Amino acid sequence: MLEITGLTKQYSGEKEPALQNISLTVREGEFVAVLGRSGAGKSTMIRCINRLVEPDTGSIVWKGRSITGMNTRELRSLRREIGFVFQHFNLLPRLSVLTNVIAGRFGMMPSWRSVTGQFTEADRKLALEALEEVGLGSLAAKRVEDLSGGQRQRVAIARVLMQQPSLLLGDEPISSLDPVTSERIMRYIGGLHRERGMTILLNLHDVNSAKAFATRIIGLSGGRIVFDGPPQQLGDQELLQIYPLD
Amino acid sequence: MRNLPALFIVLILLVWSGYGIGIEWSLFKDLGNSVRFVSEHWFPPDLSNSGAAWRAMIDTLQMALFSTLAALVIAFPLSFLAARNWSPGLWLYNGSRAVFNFIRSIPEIVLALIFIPTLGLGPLPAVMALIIHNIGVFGKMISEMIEAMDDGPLEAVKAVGGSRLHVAVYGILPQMLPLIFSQYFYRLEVAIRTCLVLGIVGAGGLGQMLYNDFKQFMYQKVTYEVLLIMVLVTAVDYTGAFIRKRVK
Repeated sequence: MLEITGLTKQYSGEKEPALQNISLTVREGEFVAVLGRSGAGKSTMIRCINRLVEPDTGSIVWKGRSITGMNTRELRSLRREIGFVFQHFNLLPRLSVLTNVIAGRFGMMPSWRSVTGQFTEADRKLALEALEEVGLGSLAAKRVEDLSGGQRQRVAIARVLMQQPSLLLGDEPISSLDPVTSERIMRYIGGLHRERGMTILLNLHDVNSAKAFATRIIGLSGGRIVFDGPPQQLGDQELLQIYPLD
Repeated sequence: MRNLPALFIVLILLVWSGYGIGIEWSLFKDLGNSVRFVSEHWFPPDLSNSGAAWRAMIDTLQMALFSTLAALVIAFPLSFLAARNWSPGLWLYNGSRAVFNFIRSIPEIVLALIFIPTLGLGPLPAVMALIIHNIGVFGKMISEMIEAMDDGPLEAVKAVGGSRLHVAVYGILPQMLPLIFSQYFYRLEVAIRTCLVLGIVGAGGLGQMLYNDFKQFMYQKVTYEVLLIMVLVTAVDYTGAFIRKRVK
């Protein structure tokens, strides 16, 4: 269970806080889509969960462990178990697809070994399997620059598979992809939910994808939760609350 | 016309500084003096010392190469400490930044003069001066490069539980490598020119040879030495371009 209580974040130099007293409980096995306009606080919220962004106040507890109270070492070991997919894929530039997938295990490797690029056979094998799973086994030796957007996001998903996480976070993973590719990526993520039982928390721009894949929808506006319910409950009235007209 | 005040300020600075250096157009009426000086005394180039001149050119290249490479090796790890988005602590960040700024502000010729009583005349004082100065330059350059990096790969490495070292080696380094190469070759070119100037304080190499020949009015030898400098700088430039094309 992921329990967020009283989460608040204000960036220095901003007038309004990005998050205002957010409380939210996500049960294991849920697929939560977070909707909201740009600047509603979606990215901040999702990044607070693995502390890519440091929250000001509030607590986040995952499976009984307080994320907000963790030191650097504990945080590293927590992050191994939490996958993250980004809008711009965030692959490591100028490196091979295989190295990018192996990167998913950085948290589990001794620094000296991985920093010199001496990955074990086991790591390589796992990475190849993960690549096969997203249908990119033949591209292992390619550099990530040679890949299309959709292929890059699949490499990012293969990287997540290497972590074998129990929780997957995503910050608009399909926002820079075309509709067909978006659908395909969403189906991969849906598969992780159904077949591997991953708990999933995604920021999405696309309401239809959210309705099609999520089991629960959270609406954020002005740093507050304005909707929380199953996709069936998300009607025009609710959408207006999440996406208020100026 | 929002740029008008800025243009005005530039004009004022130009006039003020030009007045200060005593620029006077009428002096250039005698430009013929320089043309005559070069055409009558500098040609044809004197190749009698060719072997020694080539050796001096290689000396200059070795001085510049050694000092820039040594400076790069020393400055590279330190510049991570001086980058806000990587540095483990504020005092390390401020401290390393202050050190870089301080050593960069000391002119190379002063550093070379300071080292002469210890190391004697020859290339070493100049090499030390270049190493120290270039640590400051590379430190500032690389740390600012790190700060300008795309955050994405850094975030990704952090998000999988990677260490600070992982962030540096996999998040930052690959992005930065082509930039480092191009900056390195620029600094190598600057170091070659500095080596030539430091020839005046006895650093050896082509600079000192040129300076000595000039003082003895052997202008045709100077011509040959200038040609060699052009060869050297051009060769470095082409090598740099070649490597930049390869590292992408």
